Amino acid sequence: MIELKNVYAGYGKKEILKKINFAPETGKITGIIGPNGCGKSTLLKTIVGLADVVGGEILVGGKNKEELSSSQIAREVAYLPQSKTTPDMTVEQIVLHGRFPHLDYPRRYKKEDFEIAKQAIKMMGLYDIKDRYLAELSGGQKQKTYIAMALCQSSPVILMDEPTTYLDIAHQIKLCGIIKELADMEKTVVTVLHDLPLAMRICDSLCVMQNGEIMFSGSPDEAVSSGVIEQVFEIKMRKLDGEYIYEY
Amino acid sequence: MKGLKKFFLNKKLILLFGILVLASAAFLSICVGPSGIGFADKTIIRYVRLPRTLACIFAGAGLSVSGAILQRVLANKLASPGIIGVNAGAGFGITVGYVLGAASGILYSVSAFAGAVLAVFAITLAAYKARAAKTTVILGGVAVNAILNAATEAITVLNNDARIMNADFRVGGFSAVSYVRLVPAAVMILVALAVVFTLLNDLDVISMGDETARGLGMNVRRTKNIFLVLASLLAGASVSFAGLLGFIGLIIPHFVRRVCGGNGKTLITASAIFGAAFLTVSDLAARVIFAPFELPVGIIMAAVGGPVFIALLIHKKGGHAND
Repeated sequence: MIELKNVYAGYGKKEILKKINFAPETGKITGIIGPNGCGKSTLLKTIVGLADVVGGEILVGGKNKEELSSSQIAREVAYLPQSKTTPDMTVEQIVLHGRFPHLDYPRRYKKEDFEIAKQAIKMMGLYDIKDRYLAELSGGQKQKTYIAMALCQSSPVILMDEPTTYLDIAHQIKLCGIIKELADMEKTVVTVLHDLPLAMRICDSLCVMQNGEIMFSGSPDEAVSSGVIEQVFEIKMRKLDGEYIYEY
Repeated sequence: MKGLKKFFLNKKLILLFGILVLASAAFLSICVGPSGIGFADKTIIRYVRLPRTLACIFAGAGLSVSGAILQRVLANKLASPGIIGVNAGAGFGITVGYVLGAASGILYSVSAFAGAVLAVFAITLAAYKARAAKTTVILGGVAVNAILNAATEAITVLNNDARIMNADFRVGGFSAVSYVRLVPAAVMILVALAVVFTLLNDLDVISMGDETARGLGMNVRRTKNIFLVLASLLAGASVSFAGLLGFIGLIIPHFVRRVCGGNGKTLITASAIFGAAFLTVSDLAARVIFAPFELPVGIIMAAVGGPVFIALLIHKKGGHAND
């Protein structure tokens, strides 16, 4: 569980987030949407400590984030950044490093860590390619590998920064299925998304941002009916066969 | 055919091959010398050939692992202790230490380490302040390299006592190695390697990028600093008795990644083994090729390693990611 109360944050002297109040629900998918540069990624980075908090309070697992170490935060919150490297490792090796926050001295993975990694690999359907190097995989397989790593982290909260970037439509649809499965596992999923119809389709709740502020929080239907989508994105959306589409 | 190729490219077999080459080269290094072949003269073996062989093993492992760490932490495959000024820093530290009276023993090794640390933190601090790109970090290192070499030259010119920077030291060689210099440096290398082997998972997580590493609960800046100190310790201690051997820290990690893949455990273990083997073989060649004359080992390494490195870069087939 995470909660942000009146949080101001940014990078160095540059303040980006203003008066953020945010508490995603357990077992639900919360989408963060907004125009470029509105602070969506910074919101996720603030939660994991990659941005500087200037004011307010962040609660992680019911405790003030300032009182927790990086490892303790990582045991509560898994974070998948938008830009990921392609390290010279196999799928199995990368997924196993999801247990890194649980490592203790002598800093070696235990039998149970290997077992949890194996389960995560199977769950993501990566077992047949577990010995392949990441560089040999497609964009979708790489993304699934990193999600398996996040699963292996065994944290109740998963933050994803634009997970559908660089994926073709088929892989985007598969990824949406995986995100829903994560929520069904009672994980709190928070994801930054650029594709509005996709966000409307998979998210239980939307958080609309503009200029570093949260303009709206609520269901996708409420977001459209409130007019905040039109105000922030300057586009109209309507429902067709139960799905939101852009209105040209 | 494919199965046969896979068999010969098995990591364990490659490591075993490296160990065999190292053991054979070390055996020959102890047997062969200007005074003859064999074990007859125990004094020569004990005080000349054995320390020299051990020096090759420790310096080869130390510089190669240092290069592998720097390439991972700075996320740049061109990083190596010779290129970014770590070796030059060690040389500067030794020269300053020499002028101040630290001519041998632990103080000699410590002054090399201090110089190496000075260089590596000058580079990383400048890179951090400037939020520099990967290439800029290397170029900054080249500049630090030039500055420290110039400072060392200046001290040598101004102070006649600081004659440590002779030709053998500049190119790198083991003709004057002794237990007095080797033992404290070898202890430093062993301690640093032992610590590195406890942090192999951390090294892997660093290679996933700063943001992912932070998401996995790593204190990225602190961990990187620990690795930079360890890389400096390995390079500084090696330079203190081997001189400015620049090439090995660049080519061995490249070779290892190409043939074995590059997760932390494989990279560090294989770099240590192949670095030690390559330096021992090169030193043997330096002693034998023009016997009774002897070449500084750095010349042999550059002559053999240079073309091999270029060949590795050209023939990328079969390599792993991020090469």
